[in-house]
Amino acid sequence: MPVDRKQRPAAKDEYYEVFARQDSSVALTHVGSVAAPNDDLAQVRARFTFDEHPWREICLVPAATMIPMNKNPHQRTRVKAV
Amino acid sequence: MTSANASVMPTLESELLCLADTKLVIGNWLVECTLNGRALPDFSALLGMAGSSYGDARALYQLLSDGREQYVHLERGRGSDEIYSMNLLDAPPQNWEDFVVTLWLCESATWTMLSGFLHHSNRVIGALARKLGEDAYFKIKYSLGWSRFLAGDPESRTQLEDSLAVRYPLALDWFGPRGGTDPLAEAQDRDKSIDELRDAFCGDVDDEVTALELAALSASRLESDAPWRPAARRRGPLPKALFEVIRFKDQLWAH
Repeated sequence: MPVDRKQRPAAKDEYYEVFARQDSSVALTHVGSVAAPNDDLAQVRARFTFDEHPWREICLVPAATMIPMNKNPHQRTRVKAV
Repeated sequence: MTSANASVMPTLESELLCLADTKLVIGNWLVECTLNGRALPDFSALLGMAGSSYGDARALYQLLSDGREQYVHLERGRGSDEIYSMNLLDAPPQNWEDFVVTLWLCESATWTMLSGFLHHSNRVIGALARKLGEDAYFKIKYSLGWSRFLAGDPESRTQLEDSLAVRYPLALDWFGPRGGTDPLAEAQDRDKSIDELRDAFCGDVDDEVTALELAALSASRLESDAPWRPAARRRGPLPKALFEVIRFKDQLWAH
């Protein structure tokens, strides 16, 4: 098939954060993010992009559902060093 | 390799070879289409799926071989008339929508066929069927994810429907003529008869077509002069141009 450069329809990607762990004794860790137009494609893209380990668990969180705690730059969370 | 019934061994071997050769050809499709991916993660997904397809094919060749020599023959020594891949994959994809539809039909059909071997008396065959099913799950998810996205665009939607009209009868043809003999089911080497598997495949495809709100499918008869070859599950030899793409070209790289 010749390379088809047409972007039809225009891809409206959502962003997903990817979390994974190699075994049940460790916590889920953020390993990266993927962009995809829907959940199905996000899962497949994440599976083949972050395949450096045989993960015991890998899951996606739509970035749109994450609630940033420092949205107001004037109300940054400050942690005092002990 | 062992079977519950030695008299159906040649049939079982050719059935597994049909699956292996189809995985080999779809792996080559995925590699050839990689540069058509729409985003960088698509490239890694397409190449990852290609790698798993080659792995599936080689695992089945290994299962079918008694020794190194036979494995080499299966993987690299056969001509175009000895490759048992689906007729569905003979014609190259015409556009991205056609590629997505063909990948979906191919993986759904092979997974439906493999699901009949999940409880095979030879545990290696059952385990391989499960492993190949895991690989097929992501390929089906990839093609349906793209289909859902493309169905939202009128022009792409028409192309999805056009592709289904051409490819669906070819995918159905892989299951053979309805009401034919099924020695593997009779020998209890396969859980379900080939007619039951074909019905399950049709049901899955119908469900997705309905969910995508595409035009209803018609199982029109194939217009092909070539006779049906039961052992190969196909009509005629592999096209020469496709054979040139899939044939093993450099023996020195083999290991």
